[in-house]
Amino acid sequence: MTAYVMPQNDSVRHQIRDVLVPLVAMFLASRLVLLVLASMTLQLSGAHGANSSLAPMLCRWDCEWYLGIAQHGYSTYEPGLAYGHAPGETTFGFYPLYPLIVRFFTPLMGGDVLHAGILVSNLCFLAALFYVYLYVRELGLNRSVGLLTACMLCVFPQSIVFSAPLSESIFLLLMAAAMYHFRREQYLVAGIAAALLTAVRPNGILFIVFAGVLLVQQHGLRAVLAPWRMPEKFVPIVLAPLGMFLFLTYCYVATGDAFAHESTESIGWGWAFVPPWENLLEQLHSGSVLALCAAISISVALCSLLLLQYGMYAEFAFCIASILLIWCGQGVVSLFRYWMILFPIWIAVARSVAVRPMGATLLCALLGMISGVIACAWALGSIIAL
Amino acid sequence: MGTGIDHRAVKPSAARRWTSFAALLALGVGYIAAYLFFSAHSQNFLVVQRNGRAMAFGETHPATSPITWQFGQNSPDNARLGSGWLAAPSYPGVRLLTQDGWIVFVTGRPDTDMLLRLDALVLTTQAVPRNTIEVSINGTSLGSWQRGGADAREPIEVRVPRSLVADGQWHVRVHVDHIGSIFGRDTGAARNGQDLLLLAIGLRRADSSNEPAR
Repeated sequence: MTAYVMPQNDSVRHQIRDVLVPLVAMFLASRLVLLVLASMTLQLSGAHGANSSLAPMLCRWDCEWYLGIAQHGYSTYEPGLAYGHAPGETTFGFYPLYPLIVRFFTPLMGGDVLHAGILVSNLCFLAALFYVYLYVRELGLNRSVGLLTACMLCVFPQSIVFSAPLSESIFLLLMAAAMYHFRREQYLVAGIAAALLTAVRPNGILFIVFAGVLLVQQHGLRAVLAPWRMPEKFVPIVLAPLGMFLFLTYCYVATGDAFAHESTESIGWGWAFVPPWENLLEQLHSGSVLALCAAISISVALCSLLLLQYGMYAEFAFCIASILLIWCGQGVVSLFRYWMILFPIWIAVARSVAVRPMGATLLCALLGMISGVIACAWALGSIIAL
Repeated sequence: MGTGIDHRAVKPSAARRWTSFAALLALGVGYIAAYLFFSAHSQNFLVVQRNGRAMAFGETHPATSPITWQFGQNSPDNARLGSGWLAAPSYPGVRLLTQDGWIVFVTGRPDTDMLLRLDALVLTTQAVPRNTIEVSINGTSLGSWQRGGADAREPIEVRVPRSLVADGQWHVRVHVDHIGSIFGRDTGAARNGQDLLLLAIGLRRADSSNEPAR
């Protein structure tokens, strides 16, 4: 694969027309359609007053936790069953970077933390689309694959999450940025992005898997085992855990429990390490939505094999590690939300179908239809939109 | 006769490399040191918080032997329960939702050894027909019991040496090996999502009395 070099002779106007306009158009069109669908569903369901507004409708599931942290900071308080939460659920179940940024934007939105969260999520998603496109071009793939990948992310089932006050958008942005700059050997920028990534979610640490495998792929195992020869290439790997450790330090100072996140996750959300086959078999036999979640996760894992076919071993290692982590935890409780951010898989899928315009169109149409159904389910607060 | 190589130009590059490597190594060592420190000094804040509340209640409401407490929905004795338990309307007693549950209370200084009796229903499933319960008091294990099937409701009687509770403070830890669903699904060590119908044991009552001299 040859690295993508931004053409120096092309005019800015040409770049804007070729890249910026399509990406922004896909972003705006997909958000508009999903939000209109969700809004219409809300109206038809008989919701009225504040409950029929678009902004509150976007605040589902973990949103209130993030906005609560943005407004009031962290607390050891357990809301409990009286407030619709399981015993043990606390704000320490969520990492700080996204709420911190929302807090920063809140004064700009007149003190409205909800709209600040929506603004941050959408800006991050738009920026993520650019980074994903750049990443595709950095891999030596053409503009069509880049735009198709971005389109898939826009219409992916449950992509309404990217516009909701949740951390998926910023996680996707920082993951794509870290991987892009690492491939371009801009190690300090990659390291900063990776450190910020682990301050969004702990599974951001899996960036190290990508970086490690890519270094081995590019320089061989012996070179990697002698890091003093090229220490600059290890900067992102060493900086990556920094965000996480800063949060551990804060938790220790605030609660006496550096692993407050894990404590609340295990007691409040039931996270425990279980062999992945046990979780999957249990879910597949459950006969409920969980069985569908497990089946979709297996399909995603199979799609990730395309990365091996295209020689994207580092990306494969990252994606399969992410999938295994979900399988080993409390199980797959979401249909699509965990898989949207594994953008390398969707690059591989886009690469496979880009040569068949009809196939690509059908794929995007199918994804878009499912995304529309999920958006309606989201508006109704249905469990399938979790 | 020179080689054409300016060694002054080579040295800074090597020095810079080693400086960078040393900085990265220091940061890596810092991570390890921080992790070891945190592991040694951290306590599960939820357990500490909940047990602290139970202990605070116990200090203002000291118990006198013989004690008899009933646990369940809206029971005042639930205040003596530390971390791990849930009282819900659909099931009598309180359920242990995790592998460890605490009962925290205060008594006067005991004159004799004590007998603590836990009236509990121990959950088992087809895959796990016997469950093991271990009871510790103030960090000392006092035994383990296997229950399930015919003896699932048999009370757990724990002989407590008076030296263990000489200061009158009781931190009773009940540990179970296996958690499952009340509907008989075997979930191993994990809770399946947020299914609150999971339980390890259902605790209805705790009694204590003076242990007869042997």
